[in-house]
Amino acid sequence: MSRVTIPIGPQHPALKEPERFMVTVEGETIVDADVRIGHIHRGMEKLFEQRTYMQNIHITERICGICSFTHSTNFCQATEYILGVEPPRRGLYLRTLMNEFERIHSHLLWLGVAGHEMGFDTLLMWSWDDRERILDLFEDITGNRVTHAYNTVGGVRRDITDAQAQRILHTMDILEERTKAYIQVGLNEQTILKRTQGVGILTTADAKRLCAVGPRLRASNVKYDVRKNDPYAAYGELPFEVITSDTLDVHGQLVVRALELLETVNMCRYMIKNLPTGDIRVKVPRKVPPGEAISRTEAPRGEDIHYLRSNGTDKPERLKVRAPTMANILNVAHTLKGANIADIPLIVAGIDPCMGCMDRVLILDRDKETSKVMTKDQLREYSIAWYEKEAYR
Amino acid sequence: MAEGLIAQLTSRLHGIAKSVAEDKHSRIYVEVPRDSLLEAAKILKTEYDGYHITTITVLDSGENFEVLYHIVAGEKLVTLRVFLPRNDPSVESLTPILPGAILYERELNDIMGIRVKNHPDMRRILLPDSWGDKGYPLRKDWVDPRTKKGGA
Repeated sequence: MSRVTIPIGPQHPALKEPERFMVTVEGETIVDADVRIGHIHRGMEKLFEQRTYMQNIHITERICGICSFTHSTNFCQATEYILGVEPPRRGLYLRTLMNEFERIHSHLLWLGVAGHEMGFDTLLMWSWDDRERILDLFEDITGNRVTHAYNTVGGVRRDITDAQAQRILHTMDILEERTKAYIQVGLNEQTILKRTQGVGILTTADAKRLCAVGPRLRASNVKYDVRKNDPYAAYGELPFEVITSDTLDVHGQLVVRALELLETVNMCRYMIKNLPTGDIRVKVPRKVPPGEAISRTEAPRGEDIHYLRSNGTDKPERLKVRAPTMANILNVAHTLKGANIADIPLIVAGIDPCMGCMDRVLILDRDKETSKVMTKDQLREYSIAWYEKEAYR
Repeated sequence: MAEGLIAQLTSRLHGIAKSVAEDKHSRIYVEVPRDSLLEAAKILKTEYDGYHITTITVLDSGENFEVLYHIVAGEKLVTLRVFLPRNDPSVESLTPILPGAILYERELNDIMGIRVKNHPDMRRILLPDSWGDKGYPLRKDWVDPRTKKGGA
């Protein structure tokens, strides 16, 4: 059968964010896949070098709209490592609590997206409704629903009251009940089983070889979690299990995330009940002495790493960010081979991709000297001229 | 194991690495000459379970480039540090040993102009295909072509 190469993206109804897949198919079966990223590259790594540490906390939060807190945690930790300061235990617990809130919100969001991709939009409505509860908690505690501005170098910026602690416990009760319902749905609902079982299989050997991270890695039956294997913040003191699945497919990823939700709910309860008393932050100097540090966290999507090099000024010499999607996009291209065209959205969504995280680094516009306002006709001419330059047109 | 790995690496990499050190947060830094990079990576992979490359960082420190390969070996994060002279910023590809390095090496070339030898698939990754010869944006001496003087 003859081979056809289909471009999917950068803009495509099935994709939530811009990336381009060049998919070679024979009939319905994919024989080769290639991913082109970089479409929302924003020049952040260059920007970090020109901003102070205090400003960078807020920029790192904007690397990703979903796992914003894990990035600011990483940056604050790396800076604390170089400064040699240790946040007070209450601060560490609150920071960890927010990290786990973020995991709840991200996994519920993923569950909705996965439901949507498999044609089960009821699941999207349910899980995104429950996600609102955790966003409300975020708003209650930090003042913001998405970019929380809660982390700071040396601890966190706001304490919680007893009333807030009670509200957290109350919400956790509701979420536990809902999560158990989702697990029942995920294990028994025919639409989910038919669309996910045996789809997007990544063997343990391939997952290790291609350096997969996070729930994708654990769904390939590798027991690795940065929270357990390289504990940071308060994770060393918390009781929790690392969830794995041996089904290796998208269904395995669903099970891993759903069970992780339960673990996370229990961790949040534990943290509230065992919240240490005392300060929530220590004051730190504005200038950071020369040094280097690596901070790793387990973002909802997997291992996230920041490398920080300081030079004695109030601005970093270099901050390198590697978000989990960058590590996982490689195994997506691999898993797509042999799959059906109809399964592309589900396999891609399986890793919970976040292109904003992945692309972070550079440059806003192509070869314009400065930004300018274009009329509709000018814009049309510009776009026609741009497309005619494209080689594959 | 904590003290174990550093001691093991120090003796195993003797003669290969220039230095092996551990910081306060138990990150291990191994400085290797450019020619020994593949050998060191191979030892980490085969003898210390270092199959997972987390990422590659590259720094521009003026007269040379510093490339850091962050590899998870067992329970520890081991960083291989290689210095490349500015007039010849080339390094052997790690992809044949650690396939996960493929995208990170493309990134090295894209943003810092490090030439990665024997790389199987060297295309642009982060910058647009129409970027052309506008330079390597993460270098410290890079001038933003959109501004007359450059810089922020």
